[in-house]
Amino acid sequence: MSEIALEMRNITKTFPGVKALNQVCFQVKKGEVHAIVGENGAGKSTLMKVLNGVYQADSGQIFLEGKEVKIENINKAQELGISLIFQETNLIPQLSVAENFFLGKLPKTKVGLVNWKYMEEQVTSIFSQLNYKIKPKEVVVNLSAADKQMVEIARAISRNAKIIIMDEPTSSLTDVEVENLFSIINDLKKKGTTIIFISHKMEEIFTIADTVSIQRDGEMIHTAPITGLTSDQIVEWMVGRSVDTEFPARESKIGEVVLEAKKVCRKNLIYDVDFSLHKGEVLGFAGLVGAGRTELAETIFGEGKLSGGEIYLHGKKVSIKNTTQAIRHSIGMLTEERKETGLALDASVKSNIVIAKLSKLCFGKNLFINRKAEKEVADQYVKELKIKTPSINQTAYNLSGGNQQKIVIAKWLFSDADILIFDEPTRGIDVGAKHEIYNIMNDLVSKGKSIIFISSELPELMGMSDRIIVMHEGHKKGELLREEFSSEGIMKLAVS
Amino acid sequence: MTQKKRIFEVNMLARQMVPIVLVVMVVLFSAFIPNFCTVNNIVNIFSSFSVYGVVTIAMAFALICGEFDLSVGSTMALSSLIFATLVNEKSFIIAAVAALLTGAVVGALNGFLVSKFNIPSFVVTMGMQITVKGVACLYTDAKPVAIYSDFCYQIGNGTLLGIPYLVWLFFLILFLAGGVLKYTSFGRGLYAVGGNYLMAKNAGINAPIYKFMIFFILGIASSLGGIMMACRISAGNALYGTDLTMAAISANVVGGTSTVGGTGNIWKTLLGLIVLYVLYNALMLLGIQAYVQQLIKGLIVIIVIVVDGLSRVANEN
Amino acid sequence: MTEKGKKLDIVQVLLNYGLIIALCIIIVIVSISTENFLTVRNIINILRQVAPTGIMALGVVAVIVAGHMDLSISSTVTMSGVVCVSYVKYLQADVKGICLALLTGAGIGLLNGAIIANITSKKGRKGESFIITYGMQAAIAAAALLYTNGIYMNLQEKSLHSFFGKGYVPIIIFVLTTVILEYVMKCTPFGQSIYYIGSNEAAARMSGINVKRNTMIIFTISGFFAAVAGVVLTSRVGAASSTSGNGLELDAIAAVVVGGTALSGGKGGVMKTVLGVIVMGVLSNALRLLNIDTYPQMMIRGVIIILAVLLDVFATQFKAKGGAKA
Repeated sequence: MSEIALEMRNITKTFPGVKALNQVCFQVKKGEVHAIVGENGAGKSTLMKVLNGVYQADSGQIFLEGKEVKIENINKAQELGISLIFQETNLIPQLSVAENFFLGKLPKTKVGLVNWKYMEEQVTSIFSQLNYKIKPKEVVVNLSAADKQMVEIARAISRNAKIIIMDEPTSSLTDVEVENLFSIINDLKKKGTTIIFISHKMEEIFTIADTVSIQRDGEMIHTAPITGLTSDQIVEWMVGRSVDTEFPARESKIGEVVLEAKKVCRKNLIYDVDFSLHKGEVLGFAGLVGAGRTELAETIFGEGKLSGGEIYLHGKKVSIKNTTQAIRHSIGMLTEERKETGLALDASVKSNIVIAKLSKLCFGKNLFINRKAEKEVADQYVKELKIKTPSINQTAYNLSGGNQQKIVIAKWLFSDADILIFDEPTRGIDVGAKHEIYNIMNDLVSKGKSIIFISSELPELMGMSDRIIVMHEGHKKGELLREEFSSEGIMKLAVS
Repeated sequence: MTQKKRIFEVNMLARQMVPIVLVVMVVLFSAFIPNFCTVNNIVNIFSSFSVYGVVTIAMAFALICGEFDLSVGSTMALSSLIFATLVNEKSFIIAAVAALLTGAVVGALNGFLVSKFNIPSFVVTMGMQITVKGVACLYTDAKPVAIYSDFCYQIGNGTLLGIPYLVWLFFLILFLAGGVLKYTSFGRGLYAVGGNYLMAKNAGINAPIYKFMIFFILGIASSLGGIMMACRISAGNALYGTDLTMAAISANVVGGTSTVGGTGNIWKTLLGLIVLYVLYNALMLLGIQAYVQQLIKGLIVIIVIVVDGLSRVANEN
Repeated sequence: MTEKGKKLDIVQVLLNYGLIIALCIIIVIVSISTENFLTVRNIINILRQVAPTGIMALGVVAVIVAGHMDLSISSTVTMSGVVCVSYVKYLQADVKGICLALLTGAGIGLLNGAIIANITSKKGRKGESFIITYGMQAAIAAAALLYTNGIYMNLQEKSLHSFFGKGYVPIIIFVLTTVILEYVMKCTPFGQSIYYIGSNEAAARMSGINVKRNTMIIFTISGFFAAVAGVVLTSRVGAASSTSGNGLELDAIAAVVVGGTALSGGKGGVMKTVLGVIVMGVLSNALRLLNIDTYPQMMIRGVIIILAVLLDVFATQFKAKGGAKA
């Protein structure tokens, strides 16, 4: 057990303007599950990409089982038995499972043609080892997120990987699927495979890891066995300061009903959901992946078609057919996928902030945009929300996740939205920025706005919401008041 | 996830429309057009697309890989001229090799520019189309060049077992291409590169080479088409292939190959060719005005994409 | 370091303004080797020549900024041209003819836009506008053939219609369309939305922009501009036929590309395109004055398109490298 499988010594890697890794030293024992934690931008992914041959380190050495190796590319890493499972699954959707297994080096028959039969046999045998059922001929498009993850893991095994790196493997899995994954990780461990596990989620690390390494600002801060550590300690190392894990208190008066949904349906997705949202309230929505929370939010925002039921705003029945109308009714929606639907990455900070209500900036009847006002507005929000950007003309692409999220919030503030839908607003952003977002939310409700808060992280959902509605497969399963909040209670409703 | 599955299934259903449409068309035409269902006419249909069909197959490779080529028509024209002049002066072999080399050079240039500099293929092949057309016109001052070789005429118009050589050649290439797509790592790699360029690259596939090869193959296929055309008409002409890009892309699209890459196969391509040319043949037999025929050609592409697109969008809501 | 920095700057300038520099070089060379190049008359002649393609290029650049493509504009030029001229020639109804031509163009554009806006899935499949408008190009070209029955219609008598091709008028129309479009794209919320749609269509929709409507409008503009080009072109030439627009779409797109607008959407603009139009116009005029034949001219034009894009690629790559050093 104490044999060293991998050692990285004094790894340094710089990118234009940033020192991503600074003299990082890192040791992993054979057959252990080694967790790496750190805030976004701490350099975890960069370190793993150096290990996997995607990046080349500027200096430093890598040793595998005591022998120094040079990893020039991904193929070399694979030859050495290192497999990286990326954050987003790395399968090509149009190809079959079997082909994805052998992508880049398809097995061939004697005459040099692709050997389909061999491929299918191999895949079937590996999945039967894992006790998992996926047809080798199935096209990846048809698989669920968990299936895809499993295909990636099986693929790593098929390549005789000695070291498997999993970069946030559970981000798109449900709890049941996570459990399944962990039991497979434990099996692998028994067979002597070393696993490097990158995750944001403390519970997972405490469940599965043997050792934990903490990375911050491109440096390795600490490595220690997991036993004897507390999650507060780890978080403190991560952020380099002690963090208030409590959720900031807020003072807000909960007022009259502003939004009321009656028997809302969306074809095949949402069934007869009732709820009401009050002025100055944070209404939480809990549920597993696929519970229909996002789909419900989209329906209210005019992005999904209401197939039945009614929506009332301030007591008046409304029909919202598209997002333009939703904004006219002062609704705003911060979407789950920030980079895809939240903002345009190659547009400037400024134009991302003002885009939802350009008419507010215009002279006359939408004839001229007042460029001066546009600049002032952007400057004001950058200051108010403490958006870290060199200039408002910078493209959003260059900013960190937390700052991008603040731009999206600024957009909705500028649009004068009174009802804000926040769909996973803290996903993929670091601890410090999360707190800023909580503070902004508190500030908003204290100003009389109302927030629909969708989150998969129960602690923040319970910490921030006044009420929580629990959904399961498109149905509303229950509604809990603040004093009734408990993780067990919510989960019970969410899985039923 | 069940949601995603359903979309895929409905797409499959929309795809299966095409064979049904083909069957309906054939039944209707056989019933109402006297000369439609004769051996002669069926051979006619196949020989009418044998030349463009070769390029259509190559275009399928490109579409699978997420690319397309606007310069195929110009390449076909230039190759036909080079072939025609050389076959008159030198031998058939020299002429054919020279013509194929022409296509190879044009294709390699396209491929180099697209794969090396990541320029959109639209711009590169548009520029190349104009350039090559200019060269072709300059070469013979835009005049057609007649071929006096009887051998060429035989190739272009002779038959084996009642089927023209050119149709044999088309099917030979079709099966070859089908084999390459299904059973070689190059063929499978095309799907990977077209499906997701970055992932394919991460998996150790040399994606730029694939992009290069696509255009190289298209260049050679276009010049082969040029030679076939020159043999069939017994002349080389700078005006050949003006509608080739359109024809090649639309046959693939009608067959059900997507224009965004990652999907498609050789049977879809063949299906698309047959559907389109059966229809053209019927229009001709019915004596419908040439202009109306052209109008229908354009509309079909639009209709196919609209039907496909609407079914997909309907699924999303 | 300062010396090196300066050197970098020079290369950067060369790459960024390569087009203008090339333009100047062409002008110098040609004006030395021919007498008639740098004359007011020739300059006006160039502008008159480029006006129709220029107007088309303006329409299409708006579509390209929105992340789409419009290949049907050549047939729209043809169709609006033959509609217009048929009324002028056979009915002497100039106003009616011109209005109908413009309506035809806008109608074709609207049709394109309506189709594309309604079949573009939410995940954005941009390839579709290319293929749809390609099909539309073929269909409308055939419709023009049907309409004219292949007859070449030339106009002898002077009329209101012939005014649009006379003297400075095409240039004035080109300038007017430029000013209007530049205003729309740069000063109005609509224009800003178009840029945003081109950058990220899904984000635009989730920010309350009516993507469908805006897509339809932008294609309508493109069709309308093509019709204006059709009227100007037929007036200047004094004739129309079912082939008068053939190939012009590529000239227009070439001008857009040479001007430095990326086909990926969200970037580029009207003034860049005008520059591209002028460069292409000066180039073909210069080639003509240097007695270079049509066919070599074609070759050169094709090569220029590729070179322009290459230059753009190098400029971007160089910028990235320069940034790394700084």
